[in-house]
Amino acid sequence: MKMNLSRKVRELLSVHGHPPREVYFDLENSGYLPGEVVEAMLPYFNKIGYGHPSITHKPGWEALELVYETKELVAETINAENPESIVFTHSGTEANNLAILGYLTRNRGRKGKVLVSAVEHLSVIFPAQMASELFGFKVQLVPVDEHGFVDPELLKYYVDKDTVFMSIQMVNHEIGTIQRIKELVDVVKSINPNIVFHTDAADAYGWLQVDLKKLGVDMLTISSHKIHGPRGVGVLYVREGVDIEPPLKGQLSVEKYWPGVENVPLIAGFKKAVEIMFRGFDSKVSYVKSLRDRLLNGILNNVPDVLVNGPLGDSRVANNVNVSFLYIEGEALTVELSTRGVYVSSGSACTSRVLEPSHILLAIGRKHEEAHGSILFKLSQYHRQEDIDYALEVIPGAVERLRNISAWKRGGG
Amino acid sequence: MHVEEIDLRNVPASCTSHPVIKLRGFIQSVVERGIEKIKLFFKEEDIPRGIMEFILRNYGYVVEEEQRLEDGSIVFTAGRRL
Repeated sequence: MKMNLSRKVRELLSVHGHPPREVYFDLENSGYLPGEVVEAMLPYFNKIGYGHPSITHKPGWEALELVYETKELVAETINAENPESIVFTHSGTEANNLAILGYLTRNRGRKGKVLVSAVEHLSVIFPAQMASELFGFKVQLVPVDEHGFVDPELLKYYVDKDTVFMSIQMVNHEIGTIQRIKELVDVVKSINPNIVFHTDAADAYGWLQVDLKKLGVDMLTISSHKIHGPRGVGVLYVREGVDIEPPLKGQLSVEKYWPGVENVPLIAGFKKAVEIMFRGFDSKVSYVKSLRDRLLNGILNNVPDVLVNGPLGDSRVANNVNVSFLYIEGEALTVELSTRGVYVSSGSACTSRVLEPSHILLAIGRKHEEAHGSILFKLSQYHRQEDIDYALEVIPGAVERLRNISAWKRGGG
Repeated sequence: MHVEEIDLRNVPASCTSHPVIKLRGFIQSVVERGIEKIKLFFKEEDIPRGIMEFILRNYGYVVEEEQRLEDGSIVFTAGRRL
């Protein structure tokens, strides 16, 4: 069985050849690490800080120093008063689970209502549903409009004195919608100031100014790989006074809510990625925004029957392009583009292996066939204009080829 | 007059299937096709009554008739107002 699986992958790889250029747009799911980030990690594997950060010897203290320096840096970038409010996990998914299950486990006697938006990452929706099954919380999904926005007026109907927790992401990971979090927090807290408000900021961090003092949220998630840091590092900010219970049991060391040893070399890489991300912040964002618009307009001008998923302009995060190519299967297009050196993803990372349409696209009102043809491009400061132009050279032909052999016909069913 | 119906009472909750997500697709579809009258069966635990009214109003539908069934679920008949 193992032999057959690897043979299948080898066959897929063998059709790739040597495209003139390779452009990686799948930063949603994973990404390459800049040289500076790799270099920052290497010493921590075998030269310094290879000890356990809570053990009292030099390699342990070196590790602890790095962990604390990184907490201080992250706290500074999000305007958190206390670096100890920064908790490391091993991914954004773990941070979201910690926020939701941690808070709801601690408050399991209260029952009450939990609200999450219909376009949250599954690492928010599933733990909320789990807390409902385990502890009897009533979980409600808050609908969004055709661009993915939660309506503050609608939220007023959902929030009441029984609501204990809610989670609304700052930027949608698939369609790039920038949620008006401050306004939503104000609405929620004006009705019930005791609600704990969590926001998944994995796709906002490094692209928007995330200022905790202005936002007023109680917990916030960050993910390393979304900013060209290594996979395997997540962060949960927990406001002082918010009491959570670690859902994972084991030896607690530096992290008061997450047991196990910190992955120190990866935290070193994450620290470097944060430094890079906040270097020349405004010019980086406007540069990537110009690439985003070049790619989006290029697709719309050169490929017929394309729908843009998510809002346009300033309500969309700088690095996100998500479009549905009608009459084709998105996954087939990812393969077709891959053979030409353009690497993208279709639907959400969580659903792309099961050929189910993205729940986010369905939640904004896309039909199944429209959702199936969706492609997500995530850009960064490491892309060049030539990368975008190469993608634009390749995409129209690839779409046309697939449409010619597609079972869905234009104008038909 | 044709009345388009949707039953949101037994929609299994999964990542791609939830009454809220089903409702969104239904509304998009009836608005696009200019359907004048719609009938919705739903449970308040999934979508509270006031919220259903609010959502329908946002898309130009006004609740004209309301029924509560024996199992506690609700039936809304709504008409399009321009």
